[in-house]
Amino acid sequence: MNSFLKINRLFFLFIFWVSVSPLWAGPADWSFLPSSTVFKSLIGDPREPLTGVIPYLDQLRYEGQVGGTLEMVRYSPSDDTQYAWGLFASAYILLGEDGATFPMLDGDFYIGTYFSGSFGDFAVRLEALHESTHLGDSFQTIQNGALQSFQVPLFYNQTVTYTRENANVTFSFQPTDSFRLYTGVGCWDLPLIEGVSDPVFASFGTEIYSPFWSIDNSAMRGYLTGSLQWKGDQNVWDTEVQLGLQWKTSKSFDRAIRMAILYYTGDSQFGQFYNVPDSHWALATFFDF
Amino acid sequence: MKRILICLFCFLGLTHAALADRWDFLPNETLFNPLIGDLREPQYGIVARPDQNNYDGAIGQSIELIQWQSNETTKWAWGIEGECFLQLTSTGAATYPLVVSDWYLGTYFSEKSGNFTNRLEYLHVSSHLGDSLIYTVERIIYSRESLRLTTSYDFSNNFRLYGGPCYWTHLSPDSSDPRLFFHAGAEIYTDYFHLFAGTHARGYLTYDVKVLGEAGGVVDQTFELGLQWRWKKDSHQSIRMAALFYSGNSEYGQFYQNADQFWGLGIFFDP
Repeated sequence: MNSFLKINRLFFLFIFWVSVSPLWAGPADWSFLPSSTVFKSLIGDPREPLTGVIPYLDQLRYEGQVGGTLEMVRYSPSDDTQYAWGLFASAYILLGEDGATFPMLDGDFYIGTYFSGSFGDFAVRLEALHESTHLGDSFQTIQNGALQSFQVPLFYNQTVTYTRENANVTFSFQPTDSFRLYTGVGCWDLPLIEGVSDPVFASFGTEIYSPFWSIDNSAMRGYLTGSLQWKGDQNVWDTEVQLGLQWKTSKSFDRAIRMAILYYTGDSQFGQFYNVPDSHWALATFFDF
Repeated sequence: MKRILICLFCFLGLTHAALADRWDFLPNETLFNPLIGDLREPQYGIVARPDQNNYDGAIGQSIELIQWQSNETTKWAWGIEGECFLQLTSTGAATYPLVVSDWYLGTYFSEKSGNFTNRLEYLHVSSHLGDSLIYTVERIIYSRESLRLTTSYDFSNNFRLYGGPCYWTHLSPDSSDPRLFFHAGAEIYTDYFHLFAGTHARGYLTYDVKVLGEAGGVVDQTFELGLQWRWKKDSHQSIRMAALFYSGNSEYGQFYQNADQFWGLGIFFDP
């Protein structure tokens, strides 16, 4: 049995435990399908499950992403701790531009489950994540009556099987509303990846916020995020910096609209181009729901 | 520069809206309740087709930006929606190649007066052939825009009817087929019953139909019989499990001319 199947079984056992625990728990300790998450979204992470549009400023390219997190069940004992289990899914699309048409270059899909906990200023999230990547159909062409592709989809390239099952854990420390630090480490499922020498990846990031100012009954603030991801298989640092505005109904609400100037450098986040360098500026709009 | 100006204009427009009285910014619930019987409604879900070895996935949601009350009985809302629908097939152990993916982006206005709710949508959809078929199936450049008006009436908490006309404002590939099409349906619910640990559930049955002029005339029908689970009766988040039957032409743009009929088992997450 490979390690992925072992991880799968452990997660299924844990999910089963979480699912049946409410049967004997007091209703005051548990809540189901809460509207917020215990572990707050990492808004500076380019692959957090969020919804947004990201037109590049220096290239004829557009990114779109749809996704969200559904916290299934939360356990809140009387002390200052909370635990939760949930699911998340997201889809990412990369489009080019050719006049009035926007050919698809890549589509990536993520689905996963997580357990999270918060302990005062500290929070932790353990994820099991499946990633798949698919070459856009705009690469298809017809040569001599036969269907061809300008680029071979990784699906067909048997020397490099791009399968991105992984387990990762992220620790977050937020001593004030204005400052957050986080770090994480993860591991690709080694037996399913051919030709990968180092299955470990790591992340570091920060979120810095200005004080809120009010717009009638709503609240707005500036923010700066920095995200660093180190991927051992490519030995590369992926870096993203965002400087923007976050607008909420009120200070305590999680729902927000963000607009930001974004700079990214590293290898592409899109799986079909995972070993291709990518640097770009963008003007992004995100909807944190 | 043009993009920046457009984005700033939208952002400042929202700012202006938030300054007005009786506005609710980023509300928790949409004014127009989602059409849970329509497989192309923004939602999160997975449908397994046991008789075809195919799987459908849905990732997306409506984002209601603002609601406002124009008088004692009427509320309005404006929002956007984005969703991705994908189909995977199974070719062996742990291998699920992508067959097709459809991407939607749209905006809507909705209105609620008493038991009537209305939603006017402008939707863009593009459909993309999966890379598993890139050497075997010739893609079409499928891109469409449509206007859709849906009127819904809640007879009670247990029964809802909806319907309305829709119009393709842009078709690619172009065609001389009628651009007007119709969408209608019904939702029937049982009363809530206690499930466990203070949670609630209810059974439901939905019927959804779309009558289109494309491909020589198409009637797409979906029947869904399932269970909707909520923590509290008035919670807007829910999980649904359902058996469903679909008959018509494929809803995936790349195969819109092909007949499609299947039984499915689905699980849906309504955020």
